[in-house]
Amino acid sequence: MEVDEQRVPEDEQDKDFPQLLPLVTPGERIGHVSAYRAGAGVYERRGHLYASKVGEKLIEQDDSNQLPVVSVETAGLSGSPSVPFTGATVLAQVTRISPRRVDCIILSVEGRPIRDTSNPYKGIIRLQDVRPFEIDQIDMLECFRPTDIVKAKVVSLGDSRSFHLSTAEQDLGVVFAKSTSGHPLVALKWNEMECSKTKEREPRKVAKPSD
Amino acid sequence: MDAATYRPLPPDVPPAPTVSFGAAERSDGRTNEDVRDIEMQTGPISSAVGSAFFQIGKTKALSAVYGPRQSMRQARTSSSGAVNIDLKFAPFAVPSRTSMAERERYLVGMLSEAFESIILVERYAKSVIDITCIVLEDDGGVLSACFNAISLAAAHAGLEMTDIVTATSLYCMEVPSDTSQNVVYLSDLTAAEEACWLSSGQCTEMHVGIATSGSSICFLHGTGSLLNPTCAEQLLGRAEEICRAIGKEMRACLKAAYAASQNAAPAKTTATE
Repeated sequence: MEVDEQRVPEDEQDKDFPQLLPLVTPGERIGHVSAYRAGAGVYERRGHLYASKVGEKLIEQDDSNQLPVVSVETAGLSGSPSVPFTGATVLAQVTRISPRRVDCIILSVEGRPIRDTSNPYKGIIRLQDVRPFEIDQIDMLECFRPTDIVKAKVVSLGDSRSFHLSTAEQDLGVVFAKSTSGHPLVALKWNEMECSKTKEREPRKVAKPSD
Repeated sequence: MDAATYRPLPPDVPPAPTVSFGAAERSDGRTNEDVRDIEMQTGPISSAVGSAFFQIGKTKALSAVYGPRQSMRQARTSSSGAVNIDLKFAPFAVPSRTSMAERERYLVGMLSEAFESIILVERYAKSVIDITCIVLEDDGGVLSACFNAISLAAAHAGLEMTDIVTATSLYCMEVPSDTSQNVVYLSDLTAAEEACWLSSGQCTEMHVGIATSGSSICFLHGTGSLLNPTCAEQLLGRAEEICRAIGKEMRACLKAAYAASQNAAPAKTTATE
């Protein structure tokens, strides 16, 4: 049984909260598949698109000729909790290093912090996922150190324990690390970082800083 | 997460005239179809990802949502998430000192099944979502009160779910009478009424959870003889009306809470500047 008279607000502001985009709650119909593509916070049932969480309804039209994307956005900490998914860019902290793999805990997914930190999602970077070339010459200790913050991509949901992460791209790798003297390291080149205080150089798999 | 208390305003329309079904007036002066006053609040527990308080009459339920987080049991390799519901009665929730363990298990079983179908678990791969619910006071209708509290807490936590699902409890029974109209329908019994009516053994009780925008029944639990199909139709019709009203208020409450959280953030940054 479906209710057809449910009204979809067409204006770009919420009546009750004029400073926000139209607010929606789970189950509210927000469009039809012939008019929109489903984005985050939206699910499809029998040709209609419905909101799946509380948030602001956002319609985005990209340059392509495809249909605009309708999504439900939540801003700030009141946002929806995030779960790592295949293809997502994550920030992870290195907890353990072994010759064949690096263990880490995932801190954020696609820029959204993991809100419940009591039992964090674990990830591993395997030797073959550290960089795309000269895989046989990788020394893990010349790429990562415990407590380093690493930008990585989720390549698969992995085994029962952890997600499989990869840093085999130019802009992936260590984004924040501290030197042996405890000061922040600054990126020098793709495989080296320099201590901001002592100018001592340390090897790392460095993420290319964005401009 | 700021707690936002939300009290529904009294309706503009005057209450419908009392329809007597031949039963005596209820002890608290309500008509047979009246539901007790409801109060709901989001965010009472700031350490949880989402939380809610739901009160109907004197029955109070408090629910908190934790997670999604990585499953503790390492053997679980599931492409869809698991929902763990834990329900407890506070030691002071009921006047008697009897153990509630069996009743807790019974309620948890029903709630777990319902919420696994309401929450979009396939979007929470390899994760568990822990939901706790505590009954602070039991004055009848505990199942539906817990259901509503969990529903509100899950939405407040930002969990992806198909709909806002609300629940209510309804009862019907045959009253020996000379008139032809001798089936009595009652909404939302208090504990005293429950004890009085259910002990007679003739009463049919029905707990219904309805997805309020899609109008589908997500949850149905009934005991008793149900008398006849007309009674079932009557009960479900009433349930839909009540659930829709609760759902409407819940949506308003969630929107108000979301707007409050958005306004609070810029106000804080200006204060520090």
